[in-house]
Amino acid sequence: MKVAFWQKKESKQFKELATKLQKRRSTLLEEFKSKNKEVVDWARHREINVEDIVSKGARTLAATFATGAVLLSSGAAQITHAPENKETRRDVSEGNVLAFLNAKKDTSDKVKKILNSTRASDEKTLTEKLSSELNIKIVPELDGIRLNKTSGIIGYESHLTRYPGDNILTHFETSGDYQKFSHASMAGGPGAWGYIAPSRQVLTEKDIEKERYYLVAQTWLSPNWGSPATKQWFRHRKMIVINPQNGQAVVGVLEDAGPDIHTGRAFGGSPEVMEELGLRGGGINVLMYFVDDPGDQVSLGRYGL
Amino acid sequence: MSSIATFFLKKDNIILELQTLDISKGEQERLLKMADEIAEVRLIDLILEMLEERDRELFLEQLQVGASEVFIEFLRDKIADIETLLTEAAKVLENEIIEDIRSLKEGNND
Repeated sequence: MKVAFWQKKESKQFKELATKLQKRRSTLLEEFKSKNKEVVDWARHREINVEDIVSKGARTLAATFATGAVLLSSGAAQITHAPENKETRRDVSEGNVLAFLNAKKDTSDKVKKILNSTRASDEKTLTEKLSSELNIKIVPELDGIRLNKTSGIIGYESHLTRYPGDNILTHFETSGDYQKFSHASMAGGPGAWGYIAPSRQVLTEKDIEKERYYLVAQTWLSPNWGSPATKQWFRHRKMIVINPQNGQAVVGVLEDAGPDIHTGRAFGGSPEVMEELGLRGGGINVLMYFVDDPGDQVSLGRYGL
Repeated sequence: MSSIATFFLKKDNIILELQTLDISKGEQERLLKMADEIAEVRLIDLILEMLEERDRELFLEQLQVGASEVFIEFLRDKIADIETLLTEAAKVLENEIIEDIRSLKEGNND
């Protein structure tokens, strides 16, 4: 009669070695548990078996190192602070080649020229010229509402927590972004209006962009402040910030209120905004205006690249 | 399914040693799987040991939700030369297992 493989008698040497190896693993696991008490607590809290952490973790890490190997072999992991070749006018249809090429033109010199030739106090002329140059309707006042300032020092902000549980590991879409922006760390929580999304599952591309290009302004010092409706009006409000020193302009949205008055700053920008403005080293005086975009046609990010 | 042990534990020498035992092919495979399981505990323990306390929870959470492209950058950021450290730890384990096999043969020869 043929004997099935599970009925075959195990060899003596196999049994001895298997016992040794099993004992070795059990000892290691016990050591692991007594050394890593917080891991045991963490697992108990989530009703996960510590052994499952190890086995599932081993598979996750395999995928991690496989990704790392691919990144290294492709050179992608070596990216440091090289600027991305980014399309800044995503609202331009691919079919309209002329408009697309025009949007890719570097307008920073022209913006600088406008700023040098127009008095900042002449808001109307200045915003009209900027609107014309950048093809975006820029206004110092929108729906009868203004900020306390349209120029002031901008500070370098941390990344906002977009949804409960968002952290430095879940925050970035690519390793390049992680390398460039993780040093800015995460703010302790959401912005003044709460989380951008209630959970990771419902986080949209638009939500990601909102946090990536978020701006901070002293909304409570606005001359129009005083009602819950005004506070809500400022939420996700689209604005353009311009670095007058280099003429670079970024469209972002208000996602937080600040900075405190005692800091001497008037505005704040996400690490990505500051990078696009060429302000990695710290804040200088910038201009900030509303973008009149009721149809939400103006995309966020750098303009006039 | 691929595990971290696949990347770091080199099994060629272990296989050579196992081939000197009087065991079946199936038994050899089961023993190699056990070696992988030991390596998993060793290597994850080593990573946890090298992470600062505040980074451990992030690490554990990431292990549960699955790997992301960013995770490897995070580990490289937090643990200098992590691949070399894990390779060295796996080499130590490889030698220990080979020693186990040899001592088994010596015991049987006594």
